[in-house]
Amino acid sequence: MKVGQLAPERYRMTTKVVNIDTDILIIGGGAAGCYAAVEAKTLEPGVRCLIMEKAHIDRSGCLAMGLNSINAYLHPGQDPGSYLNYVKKEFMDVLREDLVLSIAEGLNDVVRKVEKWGLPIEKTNDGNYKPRGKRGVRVHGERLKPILAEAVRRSKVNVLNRVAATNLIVSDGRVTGAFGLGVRDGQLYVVKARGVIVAAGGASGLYRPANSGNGRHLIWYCPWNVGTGYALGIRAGAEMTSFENRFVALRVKDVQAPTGTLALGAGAKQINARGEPYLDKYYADHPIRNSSTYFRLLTTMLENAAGRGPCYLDLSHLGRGTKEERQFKEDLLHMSPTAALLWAGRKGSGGRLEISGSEPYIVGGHGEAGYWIDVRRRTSLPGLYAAGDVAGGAPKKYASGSWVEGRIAARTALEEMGSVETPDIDADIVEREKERVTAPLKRDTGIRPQDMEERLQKLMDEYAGGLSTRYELNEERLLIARDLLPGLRSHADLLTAGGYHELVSALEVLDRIDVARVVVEHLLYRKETRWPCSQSRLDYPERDDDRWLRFVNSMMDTKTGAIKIIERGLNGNDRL
Amino acid sequence: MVTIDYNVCNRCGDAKEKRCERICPGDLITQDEGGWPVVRPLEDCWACTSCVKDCPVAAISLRLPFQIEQDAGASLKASARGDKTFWTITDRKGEKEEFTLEAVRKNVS
Repeated sequence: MKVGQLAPERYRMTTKVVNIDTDILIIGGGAAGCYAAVEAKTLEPGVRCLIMEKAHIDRSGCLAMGLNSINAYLHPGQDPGSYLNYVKKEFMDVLREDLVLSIAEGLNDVVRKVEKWGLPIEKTNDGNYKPRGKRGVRVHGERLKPILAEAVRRSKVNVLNRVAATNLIVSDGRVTGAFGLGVRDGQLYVVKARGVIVAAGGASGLYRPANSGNGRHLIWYCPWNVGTGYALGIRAGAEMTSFENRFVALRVKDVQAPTGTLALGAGAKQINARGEPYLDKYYADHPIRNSSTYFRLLTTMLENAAGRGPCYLDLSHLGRGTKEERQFKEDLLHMSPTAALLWAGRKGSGGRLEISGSEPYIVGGHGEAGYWIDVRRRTSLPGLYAAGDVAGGAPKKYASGSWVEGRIAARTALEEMGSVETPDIDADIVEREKERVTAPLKRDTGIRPQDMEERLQKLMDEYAGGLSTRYELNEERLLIARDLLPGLRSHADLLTAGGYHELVSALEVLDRIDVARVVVEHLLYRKETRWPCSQSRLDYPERDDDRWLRFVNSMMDTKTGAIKIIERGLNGNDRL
Repeated sequence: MVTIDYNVCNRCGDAKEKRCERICPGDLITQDEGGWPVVRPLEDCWACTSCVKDCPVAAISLRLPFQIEQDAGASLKASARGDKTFWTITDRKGEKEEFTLEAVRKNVS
């Protein structure tokens, strides 16, 4: 027999139900989820705490590849106020100050904690962390995720690896647990909990990716963060915020490695095809010059549009075989091994790496899309807390800010758990979820998840501002997307899967469509251009502070599936 | 994009779950009927190198897909052992560059 040939997957059609009772359930064992779990067990060692993780917590979520920089930290001379001012400028004043401040106040504590758990961090001679840019810390983070997972194990947290969350369980308006599908065993896990923290990451794969074929998953954001964390809440009627604030990353073309951290770490300049550094010439009077996140991408798009592309990161000063070049490669290995390969294959390129924008993602860690929460990380659904990429309103939190949010969410969940007794779960609800989740296995023919995913990505790309339209948006196109998405979603009852792996993909694409519907509603509603490339309206090209210093929030009607928009002021309190 | 070298892979002995299968964040590695690990939809690989680093016999390597790197380019191997990760990048001429990088602090608490 030939080695490496895949036989058809064997699976059972009938699904066993596994009932689990816990105090705190954490959905998603990434940065925020792992930290939340350790915090809960540290504060109350007797508490029963369970992580439900789709992959294996040793290498799951955004940190699977590693990190070479902790991007949010307060070095000497900085304080929470200065951090807030920076994030406020970057995000054009629309953000939740209370949330950002609460993150800033905890940053240094959590970084020191993770250092104790084993993360190697470079220090200066006076014992401070070695800065990387103004707010970054240089770390040797290839093993960061296993380090977090080890802390989880030491804390005696229960972990359900290879179980993908499929829906929240809501009883009398309170979230009392979640359903999960065993990725390997096809079992339905019914987890009852006295408090649920959702930390399942943001959404990639809503838009057509920059590469096709074998390169289609060479994307910046983790391809297995498919928006399930958001979709769980959307379907349960949770209030969401700022889904129009898509995140488009300026990346090393093809391999999607970060450019910001390279620029900071290796002192690289952005240059155009003529070799001219172009950022400076836009600085003088550009209205968004204070927001480097948007400015660096927008100016690259402008140079391309003016015929001066492609644009590059100029790393020629590193030379080849120097100490600096060696360090640059070490940094890449800690975070983006593909970029190290690209660099190794470009020996004759004059030390430049081509840069381009990614497809748009929905994330609350770099951007600010996510659950609408209060400062204690409570969502609008009692019993449900949010942390990390799923939590909205507080951009630029990155890994360390996600740890802080995990910490706050764990504290709140423990406090509110009090005397909450979880009711028994209605057998009908379990039966219905079992039917819904396993239905694609029972269909011999139908739509394959991959086809539905590509259909979604095509329509979002063409009508909701993807790469092919240079991220630009207008009402007519968005209305087409709005019309198409419910129809696509209704084909859920045609999905077919040939095994558990494909079954998970089928559920994931439905999660993505639910998230995409909310994205389109938000994009339609904000009638201005606040965040270039992330949210560029051709029909409303100006930023309008008189009208739009506000949050666009939304809520799905759990009965009709209709999405209602809610406007809220910057202080987060007023309802229109 | 990862490649498993079946001349080197030892199927993790008779372990029910192979190391690469256990760790892949995309659930992309399964087994053929002979118990050899197989990467299913190869195009779904994120190139995160989790399986590359965890393979006990260094049977897995990473390279860029042909669509992106038409001249074969470089390949990479890595091994996470104790508190260090050992990397080897081999360029298209076969020249190797090695890195030994600190990955976990000593005295963890």
